[in-house]
Amino acid sequence: MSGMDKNNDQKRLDENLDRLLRLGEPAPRMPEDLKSGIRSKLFEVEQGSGKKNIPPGRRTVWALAAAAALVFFFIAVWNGGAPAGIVWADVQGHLDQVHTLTFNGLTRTGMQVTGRNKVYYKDPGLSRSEEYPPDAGSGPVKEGPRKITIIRREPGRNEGVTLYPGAGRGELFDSVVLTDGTKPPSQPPMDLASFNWELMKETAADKTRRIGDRVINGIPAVGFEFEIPDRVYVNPERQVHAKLWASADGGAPLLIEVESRDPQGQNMRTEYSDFRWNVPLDESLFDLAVPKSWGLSRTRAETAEYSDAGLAPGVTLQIGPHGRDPLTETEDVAGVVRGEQLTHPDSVIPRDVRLTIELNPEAIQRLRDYARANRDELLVVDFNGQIKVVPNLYGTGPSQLSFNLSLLDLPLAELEERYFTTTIERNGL
Amino acid sequence: MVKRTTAQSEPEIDFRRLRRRDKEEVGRWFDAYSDPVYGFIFYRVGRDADLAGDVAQETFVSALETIERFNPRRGEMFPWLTYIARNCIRKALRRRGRDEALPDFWNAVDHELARAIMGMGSHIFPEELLAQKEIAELVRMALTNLPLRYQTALRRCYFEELSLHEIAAMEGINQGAAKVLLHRAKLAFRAAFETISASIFKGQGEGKATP
Repeated sequence: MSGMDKNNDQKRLDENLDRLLRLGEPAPRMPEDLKSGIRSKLFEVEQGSGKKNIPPGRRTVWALAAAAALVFFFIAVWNGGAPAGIVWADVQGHLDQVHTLTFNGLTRTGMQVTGRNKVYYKDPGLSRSEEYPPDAGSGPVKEGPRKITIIRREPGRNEGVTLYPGAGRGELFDSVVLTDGTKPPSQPPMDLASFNWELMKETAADKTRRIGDRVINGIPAVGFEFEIPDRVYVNPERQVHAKLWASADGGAPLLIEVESRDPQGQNMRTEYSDFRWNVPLDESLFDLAVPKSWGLSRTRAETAEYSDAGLAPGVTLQIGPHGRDPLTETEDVAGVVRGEQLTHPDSVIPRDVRLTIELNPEAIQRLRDYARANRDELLVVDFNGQIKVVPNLYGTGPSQLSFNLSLLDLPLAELEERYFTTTIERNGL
Repeated sequence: MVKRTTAQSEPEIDFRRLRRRDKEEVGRWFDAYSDPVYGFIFYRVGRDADLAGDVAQETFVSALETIERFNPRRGEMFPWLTYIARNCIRKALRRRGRDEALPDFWNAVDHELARAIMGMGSHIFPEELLAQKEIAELVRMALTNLPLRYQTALRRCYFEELSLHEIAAMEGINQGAAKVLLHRAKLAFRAAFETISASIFKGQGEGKATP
């Protein structure tokens, strides 16, 4: 290519770049209200914090508990925000008086009805949600439910069943969280009252706003609106917009409207109505029995949170590229953090056991740097010279990693006895 | 003495204080990067301001939670944040049921267009090409990918239409150095523009596009 050609190419390039750049625009700035929201979230991020994984089974439980919490919360907020004579301190007294509750839920995604539920709650910690076909029509539901989820909660443990009447199938689940110290279990608080109180502590009465009056089913109602944390999908960072309409005569809630987004990001609008408080609820509504002729499957999830555990003397753990010298040695293991086990008692599916450990910060950084620089190589955990498995280098904490110990074919309780120093007490669990 | 006109001019952050989650430093860090990170995300989620806000929040919270992983000796903060933002965008779009990491209209960009862009030095772009909205969007996306100093220089030159003298004064450098800065910023823009274009066209063939 001649010098003149090169010059021409350069000119064309410059001209094209100039013309392209003029097509640009100043990038939008982050809105100030968003900035202030994020800034306050960031101030809550603590040193050494990390996202905790919540097993799927617990997510279901969590969602259901959250729905109940939402309703209790609204009752409380309604009192707290009311203009006449009621103060926030009255909320506790009001909640204390509600021990059973039923309501209907209707969810629309866009204009389409996508969910229809009937929900029952009974203290302490009993819940039943009946899911009906979205097209079951308005008014009283005549068709039977297509899915029923019943959960019985107690501190550190949840038992439940999901029933599919159409298919004649039931799935029993049992989720246990153990801890060997003062460290609280990672499980969200399942006890209904404590969860509600936690929510209310976070929201002050002055965060509610009056939104005028309307008539609902012929009853004059006054409205309030609030922003509350979206706990339903375990995303407390997101705020959910809600409105509560209460009877102008006596103040009983008549309708709660919540606008949120589902996990796929679609806008959802859920209405809770037909509230009935302190109605007698038969214990059989919360019975976990599966009809005899139905198909049945069971799963059991067990999470052990170790507060001060390590590898037992003599147990070795090395991590490094497959077939090469290790990058970390046993001494780099700062602690054993968590054991998780999922079993399927009625199935040939083998148990799944996973261990999370904490490494010294330098050691975990070494591993991650190596993995980034050598993407075509496998890093392997050599556990006690017995098995080699590939770890997940990004665990729930900044210096944590996890790996699967299922190949040892031992239950978590036995792994603890043989390989870790932990004082966890199982009491037969 | 003339200062070096490189892109090494990210805001000075005290990482020791940031790692301790010192409130003042966290605020300074967030204020320094909130706008460029938001701009970076905005075009990559199809200008959906709500989604961009959600993704930006997830990005900054994730970044602060894992700030111990950031090593200033290995690179600058803004590219590290955009790396996290990309993952958050991918997750957010997946949650929304989108397979591709870019809005559907990118599918309109055809291979003729790809060839035209790649031949930037061999012919003058025709007006019809520049009139395509996808090209303008590519330009905006590429701009948000640049180091902060280059973004600022190009913004002042092309959108605020400041003179070389004014840009030099604002940067605290002489006019010659400002010219070099703009030249380097344009080269960086070209590289980003071509890389993003190439990844999109390649992504079309493979069914994925993640610039």
